[in-house]
Amino acid sequence: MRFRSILFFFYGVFSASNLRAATLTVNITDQNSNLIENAVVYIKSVNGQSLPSTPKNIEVDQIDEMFVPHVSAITIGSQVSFPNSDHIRHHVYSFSEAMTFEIPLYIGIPAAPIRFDHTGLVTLGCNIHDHMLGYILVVDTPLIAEVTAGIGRFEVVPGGELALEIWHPLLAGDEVLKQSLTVTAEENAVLHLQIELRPERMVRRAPRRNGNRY
Amino acid sequence: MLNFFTTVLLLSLLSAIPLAALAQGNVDVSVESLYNDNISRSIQTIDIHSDLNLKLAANAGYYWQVADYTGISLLGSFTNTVYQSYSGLNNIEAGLGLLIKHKFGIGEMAPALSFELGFRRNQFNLNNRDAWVYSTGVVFNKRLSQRLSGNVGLRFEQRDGDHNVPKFNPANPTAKLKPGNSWDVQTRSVFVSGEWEISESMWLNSSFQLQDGEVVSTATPFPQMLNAATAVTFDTLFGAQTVAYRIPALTKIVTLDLNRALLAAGTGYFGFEYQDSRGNGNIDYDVLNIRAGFIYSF
Repeated sequence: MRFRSILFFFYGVFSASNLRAATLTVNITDQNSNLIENAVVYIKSVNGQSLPSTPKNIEVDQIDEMFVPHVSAITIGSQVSFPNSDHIRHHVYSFSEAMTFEIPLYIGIPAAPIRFDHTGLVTLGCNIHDHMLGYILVVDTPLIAEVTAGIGRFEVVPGGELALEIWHPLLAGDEVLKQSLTVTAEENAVLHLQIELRPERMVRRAPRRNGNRY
Repeated sequence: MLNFFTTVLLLSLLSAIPLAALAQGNVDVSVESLYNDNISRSIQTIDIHSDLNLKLAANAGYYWQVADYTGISLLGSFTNTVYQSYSGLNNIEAGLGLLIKHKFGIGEMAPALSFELGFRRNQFNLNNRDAWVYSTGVVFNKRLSQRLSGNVGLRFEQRDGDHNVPKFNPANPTAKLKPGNSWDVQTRSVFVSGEWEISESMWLNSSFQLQDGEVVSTATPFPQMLNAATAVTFDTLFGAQTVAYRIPALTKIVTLDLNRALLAAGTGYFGFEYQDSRGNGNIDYDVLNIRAGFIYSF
């Protein structure tokens, strides 16, 4: 797996045209040059030093039997509320090492948010609707960008060597990609990355012959 | 009878109406074409007939999660099947079913036990075969890995034919018959089935079923068949001289279907079903069905 990460490091088309910047824009496409959604880019450290992070409280809703947003990124110690905006009940759970929990059958807003005290990936599911899948990435840095339409942005202090990590639920090999770069001046910079994603798992929601969806 | 059938059909459709408003269920429509190489289930070459059919179906399910691990589904179905050659087999079927499912734990890997109960009405162009069909079963389901899941189950089905079919046919006045309706049949089955995800959009379904009970074979009369049968009635679907025999038999059924997810909510499939039936008095036959279809879910 480590080798695969290194492989992707070189596979990424690193063309930061000008890295002397205060605003770093990360532009990510897949292997077919499509702008990607649902990726998370975060700066793990600056000059080898990790950054103090403050908790950030968010919501992960359930709409039309989907977790919305599909991917979230939070800092360690953050709390997540899981409102259910569907008019049917859900039973949210996670078996992930970073956070194991369940919220038994409910509709509306559950009594209390869930606090995430460990870094790592938390995979969300619904015990009633197996096709529901969501992700929360818990990191120990305040510099997080959730990638929309292929673009994530950071405000960075120039002069430091940044250790970037990139995660996407369809990343081949389930690995976090790593990328280092140095920002040398107060200018805007753009980092172009191309990553290889697996095809989406369509079978989860596909109808079955003689099948009952539940 | 048509009024009664219409009532069943309306009940089936009514079960689907709440879905649009509440989205707590699903409606699937499908089209399937099937080739059957021995539609008469016969053992003699002269009696074996094949045909191709086209089936349009709509299935609706309405689901209640009644407890953390237990859910109930009300299922409605309507099917219209048209045959290329033997139009007497053209039929419509409407049914209702109830399914209670209990999951033993959390997550998609948790095993589940389902209990099914249902009935359906089946009407044919040639109405000898018209029947009410009652079924019940229990299925144990377990996902074995991200890509593999399996089922083990038992099923009981009873088919009660409508008609006390005629015991005299002017075209076949000397035929020896036996009392009873050949289409009053009971079957008891045990089955195992599995689903294997080959890729993100493709999967295989396979099953093996051992069915003990009765089968109906239509053939020109001959002593071996007559001695083995528990009921014999006229069945002119395949010719004026043929009769339908009800034979106690042990049937092995193997299926294999390759499925491909298409669009956002569609599935295309291609597969076969092979039946090997061993009946009383060495009345043995086999049937091969080859099918292809498309299901779309709303």
